Amino acid sequence: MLLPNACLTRREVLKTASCGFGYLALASLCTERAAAEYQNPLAPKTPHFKARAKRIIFLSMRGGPSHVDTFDYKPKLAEDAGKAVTALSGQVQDRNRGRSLLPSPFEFKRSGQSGLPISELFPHVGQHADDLCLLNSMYTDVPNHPQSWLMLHTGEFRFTRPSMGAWLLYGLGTENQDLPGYITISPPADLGGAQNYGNGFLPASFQGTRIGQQGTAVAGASIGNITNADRSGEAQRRQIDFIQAMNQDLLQRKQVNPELEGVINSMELGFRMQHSLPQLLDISKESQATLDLYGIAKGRGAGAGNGKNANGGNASTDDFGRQCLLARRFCEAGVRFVEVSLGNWDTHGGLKSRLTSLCGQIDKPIGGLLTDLKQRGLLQDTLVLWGGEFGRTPTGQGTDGRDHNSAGFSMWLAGGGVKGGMRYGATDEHGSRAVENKLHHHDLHATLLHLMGLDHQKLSYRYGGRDYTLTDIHGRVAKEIMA
Amino acid sequence: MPPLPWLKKLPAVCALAVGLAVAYQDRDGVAAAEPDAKGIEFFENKIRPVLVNSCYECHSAKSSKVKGGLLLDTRDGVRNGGDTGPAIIPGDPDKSLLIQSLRHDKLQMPPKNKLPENVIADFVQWVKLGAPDPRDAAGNAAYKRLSLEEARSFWSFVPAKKPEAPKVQNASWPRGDIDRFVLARLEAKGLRPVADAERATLLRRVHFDLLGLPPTPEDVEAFLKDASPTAFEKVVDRLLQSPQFGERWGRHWLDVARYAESNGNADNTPFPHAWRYRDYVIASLNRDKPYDRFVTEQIAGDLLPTDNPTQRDELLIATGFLALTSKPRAQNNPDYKMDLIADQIDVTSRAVLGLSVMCARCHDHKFDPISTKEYYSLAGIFDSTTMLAGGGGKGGGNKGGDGGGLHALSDGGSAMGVRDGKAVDSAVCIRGESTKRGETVPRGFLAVATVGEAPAINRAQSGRLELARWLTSPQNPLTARVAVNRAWLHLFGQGLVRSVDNFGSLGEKPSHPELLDFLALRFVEEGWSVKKLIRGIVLSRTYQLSSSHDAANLKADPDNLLLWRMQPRRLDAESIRDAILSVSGRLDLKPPQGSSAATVPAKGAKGGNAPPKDSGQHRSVYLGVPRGAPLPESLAVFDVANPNLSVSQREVTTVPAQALFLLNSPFVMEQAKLTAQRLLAAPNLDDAGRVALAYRLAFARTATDAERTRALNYIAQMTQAGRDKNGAQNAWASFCQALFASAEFRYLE
Repeated sequence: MLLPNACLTRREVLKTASCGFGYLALASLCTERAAAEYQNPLAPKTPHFKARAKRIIFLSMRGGPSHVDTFDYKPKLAEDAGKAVTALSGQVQDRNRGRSLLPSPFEFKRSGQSGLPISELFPHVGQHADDLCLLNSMYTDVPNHPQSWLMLHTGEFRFTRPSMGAWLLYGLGTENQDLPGYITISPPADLGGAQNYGNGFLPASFQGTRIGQQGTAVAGASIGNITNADRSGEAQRRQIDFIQAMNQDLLQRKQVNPELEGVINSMELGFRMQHSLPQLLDISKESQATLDLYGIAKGRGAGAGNGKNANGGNASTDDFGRQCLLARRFCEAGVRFVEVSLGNWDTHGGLKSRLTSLCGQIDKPIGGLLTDLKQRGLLQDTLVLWGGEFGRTPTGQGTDGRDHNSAGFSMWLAGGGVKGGMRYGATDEHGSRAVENKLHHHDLHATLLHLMGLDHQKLSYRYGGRDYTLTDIHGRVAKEIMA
Repeated sequence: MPPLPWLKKLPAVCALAVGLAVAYQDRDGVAAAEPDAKGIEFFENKIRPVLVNSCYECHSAKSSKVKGGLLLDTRDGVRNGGDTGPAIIPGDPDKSLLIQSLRHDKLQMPPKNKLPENVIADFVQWVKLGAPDPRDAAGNAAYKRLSLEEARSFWSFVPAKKPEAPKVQNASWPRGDIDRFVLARLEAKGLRPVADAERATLLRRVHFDLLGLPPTPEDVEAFLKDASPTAFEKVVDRLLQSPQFGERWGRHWLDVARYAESNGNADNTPFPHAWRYRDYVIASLNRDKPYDRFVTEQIAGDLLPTDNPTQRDELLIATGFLALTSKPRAQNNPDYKMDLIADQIDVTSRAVLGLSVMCARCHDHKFDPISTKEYYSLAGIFDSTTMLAGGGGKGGGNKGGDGGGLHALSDGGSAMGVRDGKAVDSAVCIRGESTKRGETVPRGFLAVATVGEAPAINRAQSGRLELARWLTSPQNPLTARVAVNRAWLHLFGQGLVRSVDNFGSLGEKPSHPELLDFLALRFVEEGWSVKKLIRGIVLSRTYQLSSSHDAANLKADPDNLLLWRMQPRRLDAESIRDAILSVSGRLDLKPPQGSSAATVPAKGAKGGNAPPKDSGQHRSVYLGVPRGAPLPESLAVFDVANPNLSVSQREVTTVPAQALFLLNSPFVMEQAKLTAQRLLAAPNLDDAGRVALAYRLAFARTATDAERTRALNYIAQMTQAGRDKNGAQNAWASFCQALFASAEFRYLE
């Protein structure tokens, strides 16, 4: 616990801070140095133990995608068509009650060397079967969108808590200081809105930066205040130089002032971000092959963020393709956590046509993303997570719909130190509830943190007299899925 | 506020490490009788394997769902037991619940398959032996819980005692007792306070601290000219009488009261009447309403006697404090009513007592002597209360404690609040689950914060009136201390107790315990007057110290705990925005009617993600405060309080988004342009005079020659670069914006 070397830099001190109690000792030994240096709260920090993944891309599917039609193959469901489910889950509301089993209208195909059964809706994703770790035993508490969407993102739905991306940023910092460390693209405005990428009681520097909004094309979306319509880059540089001259004067007068150094530093970071962020949002320099890979429509080569695009092209994969490509670009540039989003999977009716459409919008982009990450050597330390807040009932709601089901559903992971070609956990024979190696949202969080090198019980923050964690008193790390 | 956000984490780590040390020491003492080797061997051979194979699935830290709150994977878990009490009584198998359960007497464990008789006999033997158990429990025993007995001598639960002001060596330095307490501690450490602040610096400081606004150039001039010894006192009295005082100090309370104008979370129903509570808080501060009365009105205003309709309205509006909850969704939530009550208990205990009581909802408080029973004795008070949060909205908001209505006011308007419902006592919810009820407990208060007799509750009413009396009793050891500590925080950037909302055993000890008691007692003696409290503090020499650096002091006390200087502080979000508007001349000090957030769109509606409109003229405290939707950017970017949470101390972050806001946002660009127009329109001024005026407006000081030259050069360059007829105005706007973006503008010295 006590480190022998008394005089470390602030960076080292803070690295230690996230590891345990050494910080206390160090802080007292080095307070003078510590008080005199500016510490950027987003500076990279060392994880608790060796990380398997350095960053996360979360492909979040709002509305509760049906697992029995996508990633949880249930042959018995077809056999027992029309029957009632064998056992109810005992959840707050088991919506299988009084309804009969509805077979999936879609075929499942054995994919890859591993032969993972994946719905015909995902031909492109299926090609990556050997990289997928299907989590077939997910469950959560409430079969209701707002609660479960918040639970998925923050580990709590009754009270405001930091989102998982904020926790990751708090625990690990970020690698590229010219960019936000946590970006969410096209999130839904409802279901808790900004709370889902908020910092809760953590410092505001850990909150997610939103680009675009669900329901609006991501092409053309950007973040606030990133450009200045009135001043040229040169005029602004002169202005900043003038500001920094004033700040340096003040620093001279004050002699020691870490806050001032922080202000000076952040002014330069902001200036650089004005260049780096629009550049990353501009996908026009990507090759046609790459755009095709993600299903980004032809004739729309100009990218999101430069305001010059949106001139035609309506391929159904275009918007989500752009989101995925942006996610890859951000990850490559060192962003810690990127969430992209698509809705609405709430298929109470029109199951067949809506699933065909929704999966059609994401299959090629996700396949493209996995291919691209792999080609670039990024998949090995980028964790890709797919899924929604819950799943759907194996019983039918009418003849072409399924109701909410929080007792059992599927998500999947790829890359970042997880085993590929694996089905982890299982629902019962029909897919109505998780029965084997059950994974609650809390367990997912614990597992994600673990893959990122963080102990979910140790990554804590004191608020109002109590140490809080993302997983509260819950959380089980699914060690079996680690490669 | 602390200089950097990470510094605030130090105490957390500190407490944890210290707590660990204490726990280990304690256990070494308690566990002196080491279990003998034979006992351990018996446990390892006969007991542990059975626990692992037959019990851990549901009763270990690794269980996916721990059943009955019982953990059998540590010694402490076995001895402390679960929801139904300790699992074993060492030495007494027949009274041990674990044995009874194994025998399938009361409970039946394991549930389906009774263990073989010889295994049960082993357990009986083990318990007879005293249940030797070598398993470590470091994870569960990091902190030591304060017992009620220990709490009787714990600093914050002991009634404040009038301290003698200490003798100091440098007798000419102190201006009063506050200074004596501070200086005595500095002298004891061999430190000396730095010099007094320069007068212009002091004026800027006190203007922002009391009003959240910069002094005008005329204010500065008048103060610098006034050579009388009471010059500063006169300024302070003027500021305390200003209507802007309540706007500033009211906002501090609104942070604590988690004030917002929609319910957030799932449905985000707007609170179109919440602004009345905001205005009530501001008016109360301006009228210097005694703090005990202020608290009483918010807890039980509806139960107070009154004979005129205006006062009646005021008292009803006050109870909005208990209704501004970020309420959870009722649908599919059996705990809905208890969730609402938890919010009411949380905000009340945190705001007034500086205690976090909510832990006790599910289990006895781990660190402070607050039991689950006591929690439900408080819960009964709120269970007997109907919340009037308006609407109800979709999602079944009208269930449980949310009456869905509003108070009707005499002017025809409406207000959120509470009123008494059916008087009931609450039953304990086992592990916080409303569907699992335990014993019913009579309504009452927390023993740990009760000195003498607690008021007897009128059983026919909710008990809120008595709760308010209990909270505001001069005997209450916490209320006055917590209040004066909050005032100190807002004037010095850190409290005398740094953990401003935790005065419990995990909180920090006061840096100046006697000073805290002195202030608390004087506060009560002076009729709980917040204005007198603030006046007393800002007239101290300690408050008027310079913020200058001193190498020796910094080395000895880098966190300035002993107050050898004034801590430099960043302005809060509201002050930054208001100062910009003030400099541009656009600030309209007249309060607006109602709120721009009164019609915040519900979630998912078009425009639901747009922050409330900022007209760019009123003070920041009047900007809409929605939950779940973005807050006004000018505030959000500078760490405004998250309205979902009770916030005692705001974070201070320094991030590039702030630079981008200052450099590029339409708001700042517009205000810079307006400031430029103001400077250019000023009569009888040359460019040098304009620069001088700009410095006085922005920094409340005179520009040095070097600064003036640099500014004039910059403006000339930019004018030339502009090359159009607006070149000069643009150049001046660029200069004004640079002032806004400078560090000096947003820091207080």
